Amino acid sequence: MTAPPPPFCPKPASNLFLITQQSLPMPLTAPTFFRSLAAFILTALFLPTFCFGTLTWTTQRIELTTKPSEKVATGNFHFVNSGSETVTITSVQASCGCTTATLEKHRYAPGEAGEIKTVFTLGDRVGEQEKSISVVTDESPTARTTLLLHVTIPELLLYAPRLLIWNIGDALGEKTTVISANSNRQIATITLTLPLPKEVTALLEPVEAGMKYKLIVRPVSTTQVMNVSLECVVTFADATSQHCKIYLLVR
Amino acid sequence: MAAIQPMKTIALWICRLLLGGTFAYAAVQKIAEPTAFATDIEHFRLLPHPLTLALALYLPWLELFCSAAVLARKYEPSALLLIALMCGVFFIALTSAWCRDLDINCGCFGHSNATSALPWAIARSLALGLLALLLFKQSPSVSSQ
Amino acid sequence: MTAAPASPTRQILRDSARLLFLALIPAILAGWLHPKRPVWSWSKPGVTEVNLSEITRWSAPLIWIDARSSAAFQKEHVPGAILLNEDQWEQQLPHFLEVWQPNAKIIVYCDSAACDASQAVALRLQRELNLSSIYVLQEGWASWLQSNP
Repeated sequence: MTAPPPPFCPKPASNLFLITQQSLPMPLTAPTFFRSLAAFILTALFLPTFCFGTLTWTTQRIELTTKPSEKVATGNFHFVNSGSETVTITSVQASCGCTTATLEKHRYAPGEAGEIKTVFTLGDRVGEQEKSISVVTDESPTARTTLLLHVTIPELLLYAPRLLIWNIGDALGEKTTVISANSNRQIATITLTLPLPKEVTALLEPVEAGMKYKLIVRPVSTTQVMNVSLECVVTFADATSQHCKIYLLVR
Repeated sequence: MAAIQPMKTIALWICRLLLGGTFAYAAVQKIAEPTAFATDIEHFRLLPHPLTLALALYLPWLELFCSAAVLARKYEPSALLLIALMCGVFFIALTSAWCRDLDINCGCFGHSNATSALPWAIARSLALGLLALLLFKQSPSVSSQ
Repeated sequence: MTAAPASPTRQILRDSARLLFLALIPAILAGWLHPKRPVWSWSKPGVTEVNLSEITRWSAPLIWIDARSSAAFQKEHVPGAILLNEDQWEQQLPHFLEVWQPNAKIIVYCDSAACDASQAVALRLQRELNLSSIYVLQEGWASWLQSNP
């Protein structure tokens, strides 16, 4: 009992109350207490700006993988107003023109749920795509919430490379590109679209049947500028088909 | 002076919980998504690429260890000093981003809670840094000097 | 330094070093084993970004690529720029190949620093067509407007 308690050991509450009553003028003589209180209030003021936004989101990130036939990817971000006051969503903005984000309405009463519908027009995009949507509410006009739509657009065919270039005056050498099936899709047939451009001769050969083919191309002449393309049609084992196009230049 | 001690103790504990809790929360968010955090650091355009990757892996763990040290009161003055130092670095980075008019996420609490308002983040880093310094000055081994 | 014994300061420094070291262990493990760890590389993945003052010093012929939407392109664009975005990649690519020359440097731009279309288009030109000498304009169309008001 003689040893003083460690400084962090809280005393019983009744004792504390008594001391507070007794020591009302005391804080003036203990500036550190006020300083810690001021710092606490300062921090407490800032805390709500990051963790306690009134709109509570079910998820802020949606991951999707599109099917070959799909032209758009859609994702709905659900939220609920978990605060005690009506929230107005003042702005919803997507990171690119290819994505639209729409709201049914802008004002949400306490407890009311809503959703932001996002539509990402795929265009000719392939691979991993990430589009963000910024949401601003009247609760904190300077802060915004970012929603992420992560879309994987499978690339059905890979070219290595898709462009073959000869320099003007080059020898009439042949160049090769390899067309391969991406992911697990098997190629059933691959055929060059006829007629071939008269400026080149071309030959398609399997490297690994069903998976990989090589296209061997030779220009008829390299004495002048040329800009032509070869097209082919690939049919996969699941009966879907895909056009392919290879560009040939003499420069 | 002795009479004010319990109030002060409670206030200090609240500050400690606030600081430790905030840093622990921030750390866990970033530990979960190191790649996203690396991208956020990259957007500040202050560090060369390999350093941003290293920092994205290291910083959240340092935050976590420091917050744990503050809450457990082990190595407390050092942890508070490191937190104050980190807040100083955050303050400089955020202010420079704000001055350069960069439209970026703070990255402070990981990418998923990407709420971005640089002035708020700057004020927050300043407040947390001051809080850490204040607690540092109050820690027994320092005040007994 | 005060006349008081230096041991508390030394203790603080020693404990700081301990904390700094302790954090290093899980960080290294995370870099090695974390399922979402970043991919290591010495340079930033993506196409090199250049600013307008750098470009003006280049002597090679330039091909400007506008990676913004066709509506934005139609409204205004860098003189001589070619429209090529991923919305209509297949349709617009032949036009780019028509003007492409082996010695030209290609500069791709989109709206501002916040857009990613220029990086996407530049990367796709590298990957799909195996072209080199491709750059992305820092700050994009916004920086062009700033220096050509």
